[in-house]
Amino acid sequence: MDAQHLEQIDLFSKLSTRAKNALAGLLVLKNYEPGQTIVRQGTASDGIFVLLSGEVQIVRVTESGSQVVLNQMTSGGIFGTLSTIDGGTRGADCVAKTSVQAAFLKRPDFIELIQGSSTMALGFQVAIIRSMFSDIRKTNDELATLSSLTPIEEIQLIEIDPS
Amino acid sequence: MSDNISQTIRENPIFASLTTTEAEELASLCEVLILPPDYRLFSQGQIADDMYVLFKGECKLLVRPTAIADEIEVGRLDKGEVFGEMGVLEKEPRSASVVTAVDSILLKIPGAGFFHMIEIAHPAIKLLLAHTMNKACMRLRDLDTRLENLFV
Repeated sequence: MDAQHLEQIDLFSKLSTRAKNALAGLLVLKNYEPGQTIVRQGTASDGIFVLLSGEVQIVRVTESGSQVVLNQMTSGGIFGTLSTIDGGTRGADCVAKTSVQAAFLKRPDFIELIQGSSTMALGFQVAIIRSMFSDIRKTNDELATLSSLTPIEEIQLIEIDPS
Repeated sequence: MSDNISQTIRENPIFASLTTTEAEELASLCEVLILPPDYRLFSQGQIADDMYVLFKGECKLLVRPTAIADEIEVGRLDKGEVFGEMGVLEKEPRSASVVTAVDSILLKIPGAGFFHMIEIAHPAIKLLLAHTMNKACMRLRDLDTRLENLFV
């Protein structure tokens, strides 16, 4: 993929030009129609997506059938991360709300970057962690809203390690 | 003294694989804090730029629910824990205050030191990032479980 596409991605802004070029070389451009399901909850992960343009809705469908919107993602967001890291199944549906263009990084290449020690790999790891922090905040907000948590309970959720 | 510090660092499971030299380098790039009880590391609302590793002792997490309310203890940080990482990576206001509960030894990693270690690809930073990423994974899975439980 052309490195140009990564210029607008804030999460990768701290990567050097060389690192961005190397990363772009691993990415594949994909296009989706409005309404298309990009990632299906419960399936195995084959990689992560960097949203370049358009809007993607991240929706978790609970066992009882309720739909919880976790995020309305716009350009610059990364999705499909969690299951790619821990090998579990996809935690939510990711659906294109508009026409979407995304950059796809397949799992083996992602794992190599996550386990790498180079400055580029470390910079990539920082970007992934920052996007996960953003996910934590958004899911936490949704949870707090749905369960009417007090401000203290909200902070406990985000600050205290799950036991 | 520096022998003790590098040994203390390497006793932490996160940094167990560092050599003595690497542990000394880490200590030199960061600040080692040897603190009494009731020492306030930072307060809720402060803009953050440091992360911490608690090597020995225990800390209290305190929250003031509203501006005029008293601080309430909401949890504890135990030996071995890393905290404040959101501060280094996002420079958001602290969501809670941290105060030592007992005599404690901490490593304070300033934002500048953190990013410098990335520039030079120091082994310690890779260990910290891996720990932070795993912690974030577990937290996200835990949040998903809590969401599920709301609808049961």
